[in-house]
Amino acid sequence: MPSRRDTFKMAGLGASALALGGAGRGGQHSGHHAHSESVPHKGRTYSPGKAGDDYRPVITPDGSTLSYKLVDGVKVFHLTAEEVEHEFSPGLKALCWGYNGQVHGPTIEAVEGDKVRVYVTNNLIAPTTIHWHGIILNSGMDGVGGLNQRAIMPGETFIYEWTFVQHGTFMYHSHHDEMTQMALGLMGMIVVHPRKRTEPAPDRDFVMMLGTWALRPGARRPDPNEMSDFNVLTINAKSYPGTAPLVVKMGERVRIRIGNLSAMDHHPIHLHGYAFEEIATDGGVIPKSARRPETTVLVPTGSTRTIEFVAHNPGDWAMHCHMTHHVMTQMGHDVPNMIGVDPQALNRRISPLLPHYMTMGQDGMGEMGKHIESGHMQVPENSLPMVGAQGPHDYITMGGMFTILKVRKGLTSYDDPGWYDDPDGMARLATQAELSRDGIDPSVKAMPHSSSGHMSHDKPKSNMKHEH
Amino acid sequence: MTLKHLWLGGAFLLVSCVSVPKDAGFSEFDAMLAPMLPAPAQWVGETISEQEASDRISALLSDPLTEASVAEITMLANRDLRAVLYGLKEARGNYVDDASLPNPFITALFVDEPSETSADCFGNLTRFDTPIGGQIGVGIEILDILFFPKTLKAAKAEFTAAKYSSLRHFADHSYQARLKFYEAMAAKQILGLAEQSYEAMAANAEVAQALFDAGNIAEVDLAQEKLFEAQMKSELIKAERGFEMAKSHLIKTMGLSPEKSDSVKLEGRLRTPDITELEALPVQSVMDRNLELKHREALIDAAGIRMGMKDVMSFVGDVELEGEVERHDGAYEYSGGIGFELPIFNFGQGKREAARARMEMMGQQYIARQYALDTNAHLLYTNLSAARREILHQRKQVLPLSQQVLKGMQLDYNAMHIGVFDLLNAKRNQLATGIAYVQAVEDYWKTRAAYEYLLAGGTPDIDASSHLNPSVGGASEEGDH
Ligand SMILES: [Cu+2]
Repeated sequence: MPSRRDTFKMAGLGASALALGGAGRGGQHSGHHAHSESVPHKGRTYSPGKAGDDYRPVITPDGSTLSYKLVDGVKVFHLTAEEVEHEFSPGLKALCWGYNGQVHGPTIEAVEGDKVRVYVTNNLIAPTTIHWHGIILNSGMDGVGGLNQRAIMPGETFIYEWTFVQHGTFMYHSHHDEMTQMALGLMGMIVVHPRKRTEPAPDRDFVMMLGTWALRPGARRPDPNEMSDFNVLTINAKSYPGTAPLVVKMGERVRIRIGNLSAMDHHPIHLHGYAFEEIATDGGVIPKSARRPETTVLVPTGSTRTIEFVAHNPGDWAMHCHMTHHVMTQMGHDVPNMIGVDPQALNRRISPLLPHYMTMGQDGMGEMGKHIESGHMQVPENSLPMVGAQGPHDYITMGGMFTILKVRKGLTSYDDPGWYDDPDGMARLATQAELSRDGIDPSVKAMPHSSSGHMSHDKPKSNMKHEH
Repeated sequence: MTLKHLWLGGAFLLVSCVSVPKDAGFSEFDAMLAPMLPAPAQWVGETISEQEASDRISALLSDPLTEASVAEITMLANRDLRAVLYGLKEARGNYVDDASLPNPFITALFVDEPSETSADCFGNLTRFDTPIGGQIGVGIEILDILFFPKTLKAAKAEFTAAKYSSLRHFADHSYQARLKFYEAMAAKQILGLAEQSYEAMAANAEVAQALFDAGNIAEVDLAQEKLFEAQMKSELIKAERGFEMAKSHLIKTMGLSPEKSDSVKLEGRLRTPDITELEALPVQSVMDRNLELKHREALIDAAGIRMGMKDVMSFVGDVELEGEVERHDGAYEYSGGIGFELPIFNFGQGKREAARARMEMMGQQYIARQYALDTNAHLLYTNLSAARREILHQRKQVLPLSQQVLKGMQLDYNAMHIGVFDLLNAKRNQLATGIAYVQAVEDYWKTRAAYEYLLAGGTPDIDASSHLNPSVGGASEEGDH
C-alpha cells in the first residue's frame, strides 16, 4: 500500500519538491534529495573554501582537524591508518588503531563545493578501506570493501576523490572487518560547511564522536570480540576525567555536532542548564518547523546529531550520556549486588583469608573512586576507577561518556577556566533556623501528600541566594 | 640279651673353635645400620633397659615429631624390631650350635651273666658277649669330623645371612616409619589447607546469606552458594579422615603402645627440600651395599658348602668310627672298628640333583634380584630427579603464579571488575595449588627417603615411595623377607 508520501511523489509533490524555495527550510536547496545544499551543484564548480572567509573552523576537543594542501584547486588530504598507543584518561592507555597517530582520526573539514582527494595509506597489519559515512558521492568512492573497491592491503595507498555537494556533519570509518577495525578505533568526523550561510554561524562549533570499547582492567588492547559488555565509554576517544571541557563565553552561539559509531549502543546525550534545538542529522538540516526544544538528544549508532543553543546560563554544566552504565568506566557487570549488607561483619569474616579484602558496594559504587584515589586500595596497573574524579566540592561520581560545558562571563581565552564558583549560591547543609522556619523536622518521615492536599502554602518562598 | 653299642670317640674331645660375640654381633650390626639410622641402634633389654627406652620415647614424644625422632622412637618402641633382634639372637644360638663338633656317643654296659653269642648282619658292626664285666664304647660319625671345617664355614655363612636378614628388617622398619612420617605430615598440612578452603567457602556462603537477607539474591542463589560450602565440607571431612589414617599408620609403624600414642604431636610443615643437584647414581656402591643381595650371597655360600658336603656324604653315606674298652675276666680288651653305609641301592643321585637344582634356583633368583635392583635404582634416581624438578617448578612457577593470580584478582576486585564470590573462589584455587605443592613436597621426601635407603643398602618398594608413579614400579618384589 503506498504511503501518503508516495502519493505526494506520484503527484509531483514530494517533500523535496516542497523545498524548492530553499530558504526557511534549514538551508535545504535541492528539490530532488534530502541532503542539504546551500547552492546548486549541477554543472557548477566552486573555488576551495577558506577558513575565516567561508567558515569558522570547528573545534574537536581532545582531537584535531586534518590539514590539507591545495593542488590545482583540489583539497588534498592524507590519512594513514596505523596502530596508535592511545590514552583514554590518565592511567589508562591502550594499543588502538587510528589515523595519523591519533584516535580517533582527525576531523576532515571542508566547504560545500570543495573538490577533495583523500589518500589513504594502510600501515596496519590488516587490509582496510574507508567509508565516507553520509557523504553523497559516486558509488565507486563509497569505500565498502568488496562491494565498491578491493581492500587496501597493508603498505598500499589508495586515492578517493569527490566533490562535496552537501553540507552537514558526517563521519568516516573503516568498512572492512568493521567489527574489529571500528572496535579498535578506526573512525573520525567530517564537517562540511555550507557554501552559502542560511543560518547564523555558531561562535563555538564543537565536534564529538561517541564510542564504546571493551578493555579489561590491566589489559592493553581493546577487545573487538566483545559484543555487549563495553566498559570504556568515550567522547572523542576520551573517558571522563580525561575529557576536555567545552569552554564557551557567555552569550555565544554554541553548536555541538555529535556522531556515534559505537558497536552496539545508542547514546541519549543530556546537557544540563540548557534547552537546545536539534538542528541537523547526517542526513541533512532539519527544517526549522520540525525542530523542537530538547534537553537530551538521542544519537543512534551510525548517525550524527547537531544541536545548538545560545550560552546564556553561566556555570559548569554536565553533559553526558544518560545511560547510567555509560557514565561508568571499567566496571565488571557480573559483580554481585552488595547494597544493604553489613560490611563490618563480612570484613571480619573474610579478612583472615584475604587480608586486603574490603567489602565494597554496600552503599553503592560512589565511594569506590575515592578509595582508589586515596591510595589505600590498589587497582590493576593500567585501569581507571569505575567512576569519577575529584570535583570542586566533592568527588564526582561520574566517568565514561561525561564532559563539562563551562560557560563564563568575561573569558579572554578558551583555556580551561577552572571550576565555577557560583555567586548565586549552592546547595548546602540546612541550618537549624531554616529547618524550624520552614517547619521541617528531619526526624519525622516525609509522607506523600494526598490528592486533597493538606500542605500548607502559607509560608513565603525563601530565596537562599544571599545566604552564603 | 644285652646289646652293647660302643662308639669309639677316639681322641677327640672337641670344643667349638669359633668365637661368636656375646651380643650376637649386635655391635657389628649397629655399625652396619649406622648409615641408615639417625641414632645409634638400640636393643631394648640388651643395650638399653626397658625403663630407659620408655623414658626416652616419652622425652621424644614431648616435642613434635621429626624424621630423626620418628626413627629413634621406632627403634625403641617397635616390638617387631625387638623380635627381629631376638631372631638375630636365635641365629647366633644356631651358629654356636652348628659351630661345635657333634659330641661322641658313649655307651656303657654292665653284664653279670654270660650270654650267647649272636650275630646279625648290617647295622651293627660288632657284638661281643661277656660272661661278666662291663663295656664302654665311644662312637663318632667320622664325616662330621672330616667336614667340620666346612660345617663351620656354612654355619658362619648362615649366621651372616641371618644378620643381613635382620638388618634388612631393621632398616626397612626405619625407612617405613620415615615414609609414614612424611605421609602424616603432608596429610596434616593438607588438612590445614582444606580447613582454609572450607573457611573460604563458608565465608562465601555467609556473604550469600547477607545478600539474601538484604534482598539482593534469590533463595536458589543462596542455596547454590551453600551447596559449594557443603561440598567443601565433604572435602574437609575427607582430609580429616586422611590425616587420621596417616597418623594411625605412623603410630602403627613406630609401634607405639596405646598409652604413648596419645602424645604423638605432628606440627609445622614438611621440611623445605634443599634442592641441590643430584650426584650421579653410584650403581656399583648400590650393588655392593645392598643387604638383600648380601643376604642372598650368604645363603648361597652356605648352601654351596652344604651341597659340597652332601655330595660326598650322599656318596659315602654314614661312616662311623667306634672304639671299645672291655673288661673281661679282669682283663681289659681294646678293640676298634669302622662302619659305613654301602651305597648299592641309593647312590645319592637324587639328593645331589635336588641340591644342585636348589643352588641353581638361588643363583637365578640372585641374578633376578640384581637386575631388579639395578632397574629400581635407576628408576628411583629418575624419580628423585623428577620430584626435584617438580619441586623447583612448583616453587619457581606454580606458587608465584598462583600468588600473582590471587593478588591480581584482589586488584580486579578492588577495581570492581569481579565480585567477592570470584575473589573467594580465587582464594580457594590458590589453596588448591598449595595442596598440590604439599603433595609434591611429600612425594619428594618419600622418593628421597627411598633413594637414601637404597644408597644405604636397602631395597625400597618403589610403589610405596611415590604416589605419582603407580605404574612404573612392580619390578621390586620383596623376596622372601
Ligand atoms: Cu550512552
